[in-house]
Amino acid sequence: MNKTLTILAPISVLVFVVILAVMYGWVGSMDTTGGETPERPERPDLNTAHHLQPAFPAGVGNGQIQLINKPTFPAGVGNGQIQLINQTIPGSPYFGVALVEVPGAVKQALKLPPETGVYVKSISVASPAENAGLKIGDVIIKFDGTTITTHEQVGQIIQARKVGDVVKLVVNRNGTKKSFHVKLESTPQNALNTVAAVQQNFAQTRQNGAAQQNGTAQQNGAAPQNNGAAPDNPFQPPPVTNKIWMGADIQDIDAVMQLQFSLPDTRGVIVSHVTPNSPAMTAGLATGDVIKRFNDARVRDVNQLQSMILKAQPGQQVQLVVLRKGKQLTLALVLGENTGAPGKIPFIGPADIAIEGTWIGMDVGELAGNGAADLGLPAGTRGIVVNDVESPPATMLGFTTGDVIVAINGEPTPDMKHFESATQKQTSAVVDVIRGNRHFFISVPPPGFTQHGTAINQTLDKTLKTVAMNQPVTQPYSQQAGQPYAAGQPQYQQAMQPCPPVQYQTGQLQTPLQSGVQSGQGAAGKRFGIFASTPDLNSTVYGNRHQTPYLIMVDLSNNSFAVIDPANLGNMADTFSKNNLSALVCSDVSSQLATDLSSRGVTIYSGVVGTPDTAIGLYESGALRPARGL
Amino acid sequence: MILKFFAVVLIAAIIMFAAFLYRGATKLEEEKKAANGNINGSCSGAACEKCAQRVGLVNIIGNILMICIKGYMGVAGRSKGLIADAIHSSADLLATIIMIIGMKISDKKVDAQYPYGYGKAEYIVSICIYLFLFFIGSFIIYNGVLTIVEGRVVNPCLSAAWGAIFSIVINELMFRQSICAGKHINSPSMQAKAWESRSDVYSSFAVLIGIIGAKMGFHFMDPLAAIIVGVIILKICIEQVRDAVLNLMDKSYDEDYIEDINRSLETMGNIAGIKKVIARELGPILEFEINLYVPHDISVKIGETIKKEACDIVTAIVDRKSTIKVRLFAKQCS
Repeated sequence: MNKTLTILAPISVLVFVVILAVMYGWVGSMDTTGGETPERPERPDLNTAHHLQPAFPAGVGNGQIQLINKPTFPAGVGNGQIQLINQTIPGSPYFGVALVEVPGAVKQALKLPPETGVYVKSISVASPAENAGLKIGDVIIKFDGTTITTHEQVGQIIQARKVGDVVKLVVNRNGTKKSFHVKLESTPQNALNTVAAVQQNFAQTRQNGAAQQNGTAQQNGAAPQNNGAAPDNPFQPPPVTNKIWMGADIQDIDAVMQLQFSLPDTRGVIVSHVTPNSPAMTAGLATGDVIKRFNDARVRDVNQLQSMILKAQPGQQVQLVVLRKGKQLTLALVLGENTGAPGKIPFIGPADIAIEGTWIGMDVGELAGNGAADLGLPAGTRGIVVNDVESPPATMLGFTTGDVIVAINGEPTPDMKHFESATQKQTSAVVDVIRGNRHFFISVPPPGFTQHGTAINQTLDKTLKTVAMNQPVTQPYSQQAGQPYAAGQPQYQQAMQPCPPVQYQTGQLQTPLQSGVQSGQGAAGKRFGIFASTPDLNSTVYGNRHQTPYLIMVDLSNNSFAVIDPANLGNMADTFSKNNLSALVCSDVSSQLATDLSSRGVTIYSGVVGTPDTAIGLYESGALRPARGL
Repeated sequence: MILKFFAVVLIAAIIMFAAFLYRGATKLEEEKKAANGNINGSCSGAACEKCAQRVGLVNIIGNILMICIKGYMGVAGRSKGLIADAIHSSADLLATIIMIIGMKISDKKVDAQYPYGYGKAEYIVSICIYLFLFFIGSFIIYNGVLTIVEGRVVNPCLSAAWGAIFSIVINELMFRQSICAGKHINSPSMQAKAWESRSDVYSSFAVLIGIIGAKMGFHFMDPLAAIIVGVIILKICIEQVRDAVLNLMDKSYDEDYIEDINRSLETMGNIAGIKKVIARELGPILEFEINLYVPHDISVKIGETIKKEACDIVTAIVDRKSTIKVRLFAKQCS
């Protein structure tokens, strides 16, 4: 016994040493692909590669998604748009992500070797992937022990597994490897619509995502007009509304702003607009101020400041330390309560504008005399209106049709002459934009750089740009009608009451394709509503089962539309009858709302995927079939 | 799940172990005070004796715990430095194990085939194991350099730092215990072991700095710490192999000892001179050969007394198990 122990002891230790040595080697090689983790990680939205994505990347964990690419699928209503029947195979393993090829710029940023990994483009709410902590933008390197090169592989692996199996996956998130264990669940019946819907036209969704993710449009808690926070992520439900406001629009600072405003660093938040007669105005806050401290707490970014504001009470006095022209000032600000009058929802017709010039891939024109009123802006607003956002870099920076550029680098641009001189002077610019009721800054980096000041590979970028511009336009409606919709800007209706939680029942929705009344002018009215993921015609048609969507109201008679933000939607059926909407186009709908709307004579077109823009085209041409049996 | 449980158990064990060591240290402190600061006096009590006996066991348990925790946290926390440090601890543990094996082997009765006993078997085992560890150490250095040169990102997480902190604390406590016990029972070999623990503290400290540095964004620092630890491992290996080879070659035992013995022997009244004192190591046993000149007219009985006396002198100086052969030569009248 003793003898065996004497022999066993050193041998076991040696074995342990060998194991450790192997692990030691691993620790090095596991991170071979990892790049330097950037201080502010490059979000994948800063590239153009999304234009290259196929319209229907094979999805994961859901038999249906794979079927989409097959011609046998009973679908296909022109223009690559598919009206999906809400059929699922409950019980098949479900993962809940939509995957695409890794976009070139992401590959570049993460220093991934070619043919590695797949990119997580979207994640279904409450799916196993979300529960496990997977995030949009992750690059899946390994799935269940297999090195992944194409997204089909993932689908195959999931199909081969059973519900309840645990798969391990290794992802590259901003250059660092992370591993997750995901327990596959059985496919919920509604999974299809969500996944299919979000797969559509990601390039466009991304534009909006870019604005939100980069913080160029973050002004939630501090923005009174919003009466709450705009969702940070279109796939997340909007946060609860809050009454506290200070009346200033704030934004994160990026490298371009730092340069243009000669700031020492990018810490703090910059004030892009101060609402007249607001507490902020009273306190003496001005556009261009950088808020450094809030009640002695250092302000890092917009989210942090918002959370601090939301914790305060109306009427409370707070101390703000702001940086103005290189000097620190301390301002006392009494937080107010949002009492903004509920705004009317104007339907916006095509603005009376002529294309007068182009800049960084957008067509711009002078805002005509009545243009301001048409866009719902204060009378007398003068500026340059964006007529069309066509190509990068503008598409990447978060510009939207209908934005009014009032200043560039602090130089007002009331007319084309000033605009041209301002744009010619600069390589990088901070653009003061009015969109709807909001003012904010959009940073335009110098060519070859991202908004965070990171250089992007020139040659690659150029190639991508060329390819992206050569892609066929996938928005047939805009093509036909030229410029039918001037950008309607979100006009926010005051929330009447929060949306009731949507109860979801399975098996109630049947959308037979074979029969049904044809949509369009004949059968339906001129005014109808579309559920969308973001307040944009180029977003994605959405449903209301998982989260409250934006409601885009379209009036075909004068080619105009209006958007209601999820937070302000209130009772959906009331909104429909109040605005005289006769149809709803959506990807899915809760049975409760469907019954509600049907009883008021609203026709429902469910199972529509694609952009609202194409959906309008489909609706107008009568290509959609209403859902029956509701 | 199981791994997490394992980690929790390990951490609990480590904390208990540290508490045990700490309590032991405070107890000794009191003991020392009771002995009026007489640190250099031979043994100040039965407590010290007991403590000294436990040093070996404590070292083994401590090292095993540390290998486990550092290995686990190093792998889980992705720190090259910490894994290398775990291997370093393994090397220490192996040294202790080899020592024990040596004792076991040398306890074996001599037989006809090996009339001098099995003392040298220990050195052969030692050479094998340390050559192997030398290989591992080279791999650590090679891989570490490769990691730095290729600019791979090693991004350890903070659990790795905890592993290093545990290691520092435990090693320091073990050092305190060993050095205290070693001083009290006046055993230089135990003190030497204690200083080994201290060097482990330094290497763990380097690892901690490496991890924190890597956390701060200097990603090369963790592999750099691993390289440093690798060098320490190589140093240990080289020393051990060198010692083993030299002992296999019957290298003379420590000169100082020999001189001490010489001096003590000279004080003996009834000898005529010292011819030669040589010593070699046979595993844990020291073998002395003492050749003395004695007056040519003494009786055998007196000769035996002289032998006995010489034996006593040597055992008084040497704190190790030793075999002493005394030979007497007749000194011619000059």
